[in-house]
Amino acid sequence: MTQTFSRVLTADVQAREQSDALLLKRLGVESLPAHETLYVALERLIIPGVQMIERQAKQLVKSIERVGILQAPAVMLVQGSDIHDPDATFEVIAGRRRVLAARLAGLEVIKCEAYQASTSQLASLITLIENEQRSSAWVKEVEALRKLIDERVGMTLDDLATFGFHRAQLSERLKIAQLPVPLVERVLAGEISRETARKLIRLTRAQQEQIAGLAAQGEDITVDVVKHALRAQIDAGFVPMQAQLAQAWSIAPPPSPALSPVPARAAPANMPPENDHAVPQAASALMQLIADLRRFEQSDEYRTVPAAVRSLTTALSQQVQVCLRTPPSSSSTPQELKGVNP
Amino acid sequence: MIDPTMFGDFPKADPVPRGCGEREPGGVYAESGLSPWGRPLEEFLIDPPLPLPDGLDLVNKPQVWQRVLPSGEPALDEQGQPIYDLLIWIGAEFYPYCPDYLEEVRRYGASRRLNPNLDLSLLSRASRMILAHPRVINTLWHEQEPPQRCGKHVPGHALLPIEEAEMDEEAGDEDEWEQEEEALPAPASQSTPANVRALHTGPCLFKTWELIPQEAAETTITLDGEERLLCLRAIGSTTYQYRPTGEEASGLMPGLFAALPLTGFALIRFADGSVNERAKEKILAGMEAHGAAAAPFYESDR
Repeated sequence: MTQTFSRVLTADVQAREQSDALLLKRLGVESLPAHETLYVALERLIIPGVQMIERQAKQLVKSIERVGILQAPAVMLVQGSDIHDPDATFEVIAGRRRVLAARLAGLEVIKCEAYQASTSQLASLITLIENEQRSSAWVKEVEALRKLIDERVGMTLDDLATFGFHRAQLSERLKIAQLPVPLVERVLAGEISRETARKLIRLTRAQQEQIAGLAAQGEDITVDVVKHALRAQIDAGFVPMQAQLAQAWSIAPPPSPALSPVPARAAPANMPPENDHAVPQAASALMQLIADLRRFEQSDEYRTVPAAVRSLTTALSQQVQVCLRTPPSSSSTPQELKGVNP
Repeated sequence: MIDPTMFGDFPKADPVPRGCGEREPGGVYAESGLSPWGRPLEEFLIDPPLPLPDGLDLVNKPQVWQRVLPSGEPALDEQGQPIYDLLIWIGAEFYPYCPDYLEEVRRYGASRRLNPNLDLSLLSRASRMILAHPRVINTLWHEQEPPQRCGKHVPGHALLPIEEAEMDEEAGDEDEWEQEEEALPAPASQSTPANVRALHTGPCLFKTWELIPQEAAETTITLDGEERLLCLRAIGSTTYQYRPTGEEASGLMPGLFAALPLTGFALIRFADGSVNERAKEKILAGMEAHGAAAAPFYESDR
């Protein structure tokens, strides 16, 4: 497995360089502008759209307090003669959350990649590049978690969460890291997309092992293969429900003693045949409610409640009795849903 | 071209404020409406509630799902077209207890907001709204008392069949003074006859009413001759009654509890009178495709 990891890392860097070059070409830029790694006072950094990222930035504060900023944010000169000007100010173009979190953590200075040039095209470009780079970051997280598992480091999700990790995201990565080995190898080799990996972790272990068997035989694990397996698994999970519903709708409910007092109704031609158990059930529930209301009216508590409650009880009791007396064909019966052909 | 008015009047959900709030302008809502020609809600309930299929990621993500028969074949409607259902999660943030939602549906019908990006054209009147709730399968059922009643009459679910339970209560009024002498409630294991216990099956959906804690009630009422309190719980526009047993509710787990018929869609107008056109187009496309079996829609201010 370790050999696979190092092979993957090399391949990952090469792939990243290629994708960066492709990105530049697409945007009509020959090369990236000159930049320098500098320590910049946080008060000289402008963060666009602070309100929009505040909540997410707060999640990073803990980890920044403990281990600092591991990847320098990119900033661009907006005021000053050059990036070394002691009065220069910069706009953050990539890493806004990190910079804001550093500010919230009480840091005064952070390391940045400072860009001299200042065009909006460049800002967009660098933002895109950073996102491109970060798009494969999940694989690295999976790799790191897999190492922790292999080396039997007894850390729990709670332990990791104290570093400020997003718990749900971390849980997902952990599940990916715990997939059968042939599948993890494919993930680390970049041969299984994140979307596919997310579907893989929703499969049962038996299903995962089955697909891992295909992977071990050298077959492509495409999103369609996984989708198909997941679909079949969920359909199988619905079988008991389909069976229960089919049975419920094929057996007539038992007769009820409350059947006789309620007149039968004629349903319109385009409606399914009426279930004659419906009326007694509604009626019996209403009679139960009336009985409860009457008992309440006779209880000691009733005499102590506010007059409004007593009135309400009486009104409700009377209204329910009116409903019970009204032939169902002339009013909607609230306990019923329109039927369908099961 | 299909005429959207050809369906005439069809069952609609009442546009009252609900546990999840009021309907929003521009929203698209799937409905299971009320009708005088309908069937009791109980017929559409899944009892016992069933676990969610492994791998189904449903929380807050309504989905359109093709129905498959137990044989593995796709289910087809009367016109030979595949049937698609809506899978819907009823969140505990708005409906902490499953009966909150069911009692609301019983009074006002079901109305669930949909993501307009869903392919609504696949849905028809053969479709169902399959509902799941995070706290509906009572895993402690075998340690607890059977519920007083099971609305679906599932053998072994309830302490007594519903009719007998009602008759028993009525008879109880006559010899009230005799019961008062033994007013102390018997322990659970002694209060249920052995032959009922032996037949006890579950978990019963209707037990979830009894597991709502007393503290969740807006009003509690002590009734003469009744061991259990009568509790009234209000949620949205619904006020309903339940009688808590005080039993442990921590065993409630996520599950499927209802499959309601889709009776149509409601498109809620924006302030300028328009509706979500993208969703409307999809519904109209569905009407073209499904003909007489299509799910109708209406436009409304609320």
